[in-house]
Amino acid sequence: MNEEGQNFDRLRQALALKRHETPPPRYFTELPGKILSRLGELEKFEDASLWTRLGRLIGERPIFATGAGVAAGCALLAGIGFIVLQDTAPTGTASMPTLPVHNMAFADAPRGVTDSLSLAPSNSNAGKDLFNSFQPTATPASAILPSRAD
Amino acid sequence: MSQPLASANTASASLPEDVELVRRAQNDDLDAYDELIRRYQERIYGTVYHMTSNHEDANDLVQETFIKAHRALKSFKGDSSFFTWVYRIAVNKTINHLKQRKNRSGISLNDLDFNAENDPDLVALISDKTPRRDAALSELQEKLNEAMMKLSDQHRLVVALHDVQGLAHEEIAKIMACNTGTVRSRLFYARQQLQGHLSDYLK
Repeated sequence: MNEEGQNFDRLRQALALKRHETPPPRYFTELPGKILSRLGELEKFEDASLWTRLGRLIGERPIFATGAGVAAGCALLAGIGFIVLQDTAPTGTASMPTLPVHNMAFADAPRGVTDSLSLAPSNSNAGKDLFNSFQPTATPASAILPSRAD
Repeated sequence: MSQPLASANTASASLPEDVELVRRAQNDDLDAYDELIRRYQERIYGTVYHMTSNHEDANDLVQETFIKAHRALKSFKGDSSFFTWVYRIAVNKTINHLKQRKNRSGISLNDLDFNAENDPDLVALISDKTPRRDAALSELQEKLNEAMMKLSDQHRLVVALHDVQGLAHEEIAKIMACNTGTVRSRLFYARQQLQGHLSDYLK
């Protein structure tokens, strides 16, 4: 870092130009007043109540009003949606999906099970009355499953 | 901004008065704070402006700097001078601002004052028999600012504080919270870079 080895004289002469870049006239006369005025506004703002602050903020920047409106609308819709869902939702196991019984293929069940569930007329009279009123017709699996077209 | 700042001695010479003004400002005396603003506004503005090359940004940042300083004034213990402390606030604000506006071109230069044409340094630079001796001051100003903006924030800051504002290495080290060796090496590197960018104008 040998500064003497490099001659920066001309660069420093050029940089002198930067000192002549000046802000508009009266800028420095007015700046302290602007700063103190902003400080006064900030203090007033902080002393005000929450609702007053919010009102001022919305008044100064309409985008806050839009944002607040959208947020309130979303909250309202979400609340209504929640209430509606709670009212209509079934409770407990009743909400579980039910399978259509008539589509069950008994052919796939184990032999023992199909025997006990046999729908053919039985010699046994036990529970006969019960089954007299309930005689579903079992649909063969071949009728349900699509036929293979080889 | 027409004269380079005196070294840190100026700041230390005014230190007792600053201390008194700060004490009064800490007790909500706005007149005292007004005096502190008037005392340092040109230097702070100069630093921020030379960092951003944009008057509007500099204006906002200077106002925000003094507002932040006022709000933090109660916590100012006087470990450093008010001058160094407020400078640090300005520098940090400016660097944060520059990070945010990184991809935006934002040059908005101030006009040159009437003394520019009579500045001995500039007279020498422009009137010498160089290939670009006909270059107008405004053109040089534009190229100079473009070259400055090509430097990193830290390097630009060192050039602005030392070569433009005339602060001493020690004072810059305090502001940048580093040692004077770092300040010197950054300054050397920054000058090399600037010299490269402005080679056509500095032959």
